[in-house]
Amino acid sequence: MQVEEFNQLVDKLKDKMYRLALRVVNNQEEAQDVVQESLIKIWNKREKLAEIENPAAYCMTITRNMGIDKLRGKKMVTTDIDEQYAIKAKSPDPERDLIAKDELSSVMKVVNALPENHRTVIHLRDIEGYTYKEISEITGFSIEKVKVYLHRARTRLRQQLKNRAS
Amino acid sequence: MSTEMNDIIQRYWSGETTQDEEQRLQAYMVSGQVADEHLDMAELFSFYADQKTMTLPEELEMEAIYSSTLSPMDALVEKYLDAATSLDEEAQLRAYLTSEKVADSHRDLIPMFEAFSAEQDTQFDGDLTELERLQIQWSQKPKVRYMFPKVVGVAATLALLMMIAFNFLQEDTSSYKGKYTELQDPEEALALTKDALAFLGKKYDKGTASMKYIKELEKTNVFNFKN
Amino acid sequence: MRSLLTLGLILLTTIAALSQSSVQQFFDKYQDDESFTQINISPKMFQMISSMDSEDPNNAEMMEMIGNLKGLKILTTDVNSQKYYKEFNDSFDKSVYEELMTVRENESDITFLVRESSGNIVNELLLLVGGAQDFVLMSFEGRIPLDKIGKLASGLNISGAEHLDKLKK
Repeated sequence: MQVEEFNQLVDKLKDKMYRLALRVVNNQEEAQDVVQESLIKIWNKREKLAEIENPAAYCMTITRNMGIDKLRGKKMVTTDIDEQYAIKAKSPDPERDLIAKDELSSVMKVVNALPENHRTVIHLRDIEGYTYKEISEITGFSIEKVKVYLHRARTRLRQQLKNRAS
Repeated sequence: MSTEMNDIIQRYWSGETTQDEEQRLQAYMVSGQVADEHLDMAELFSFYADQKTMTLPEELEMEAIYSSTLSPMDALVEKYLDAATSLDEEAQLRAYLTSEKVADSHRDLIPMFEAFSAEQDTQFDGDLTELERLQIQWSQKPKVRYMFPKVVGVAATLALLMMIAFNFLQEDTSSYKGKYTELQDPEEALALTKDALAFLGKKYDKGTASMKYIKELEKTNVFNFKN
Repeated sequence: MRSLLTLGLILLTTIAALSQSSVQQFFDKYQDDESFTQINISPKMFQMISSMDSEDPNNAEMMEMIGNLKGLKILTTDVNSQKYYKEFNDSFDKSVYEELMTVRENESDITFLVRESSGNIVNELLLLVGGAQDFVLMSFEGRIPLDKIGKLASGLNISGAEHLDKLKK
């Protein structure tokens, strides 16, 4: 695999990889490290990459695994969610912005409190829009298991958001 | 009849009946000739009989249940929570939740979907210098991809490169071409070994020389090189 | 219980024997293939070499190295070189052979693999060349000090040509 070809793939994927890493490690700085290290690993394996049926899924798998490794390396997860999910102002009404921001970060707090496999699956589906088969390829779970995790994650998410509201 | 039944019923409640007696009890309860004082029990037995014929609902039937008892959007939400929706259906749901006419019972899903789509825009703005460095390094010859630090760098003697090693393969092995040879003459074996070692030494030298070059690169690099 | 243990031991040794020969298997596979040239120098031959009265004062390092060798195998072909290079890379046992380094030189990939190294001494050194024209696999067995290999090359350019000439006639 040549540099240009590799970089084309990376350009397409690096944001997706970053978002997944962010979901797994739940920390901006570490997620950047994960992406950087994953890309280097993929670069070192570029010859293998050329033989793989779905290089994009392979890249995502590496990203997730590197993220999990990072996660295992530390006991406590510390985050600054407000900073992490700060959203750009979309409306001129600052009060509405504040509410929207609160809502979003509270959703993400709930998502990030899910077990890793649950939040990874819901992330890949509901944020990235992967098919069940692709999610199965990336995570190594069976399609059935993907659906079970997704079902639990969504139900739990909705339940907790309801509790929050009431 | 009813005294015997009363006896069975009494022992049924205390769990002392045989299977045979229970079958008789069941037959009596669904017979339509149940004594008035046993009518509440007959209800229980008809419930049991009903339960026995129940089967696991197929996915299709579940969908029928969703659509018969729920509004279409309710059904879609249930299906979504069950992780049974297709990507198309999820897009439909997203469109519905961002529209003006969301049912109150679905409002709690709006922040969820908003948060999802907000995150789709997150971009990676991390540092890729390390990768670029690796790529530049790779495009320079000779290319060294991996080493373990055990190897001790040897002073490169690239100026003394000999042509012999290059020709070793074509020249030295030509008399054995196309077959398997077990060398029997020690003189011949020694000569070949020397040339093979020369070939090895030259290639090895070249590798370690480039490793020294990489080490220099790493020393000057501000980033921590991992893996 | 004991028989189970014995069985386990047998299994373990079989596995070890099998994996050690993953490279040997590759040599064996192409022994009768006419597109390959294969040369083998046996341990017995190396014993004879070291007992020979070899006088090569210019090349003490080389002779020392040869004294430590127990076997040399060479396998080479000039057809489908890339295919065989890949096949070998996919087939050798990664738990037994460790990659020392890979060099890219004029369209050729050159890989050095080592088996059972302790410090700078390895029990087997494999040289694998996958070029556009040639595939070469060499196995050097014995007790090979890695730090001596480089020195070897610099001392060689004087005497090497003589042997080449000898072989040509």
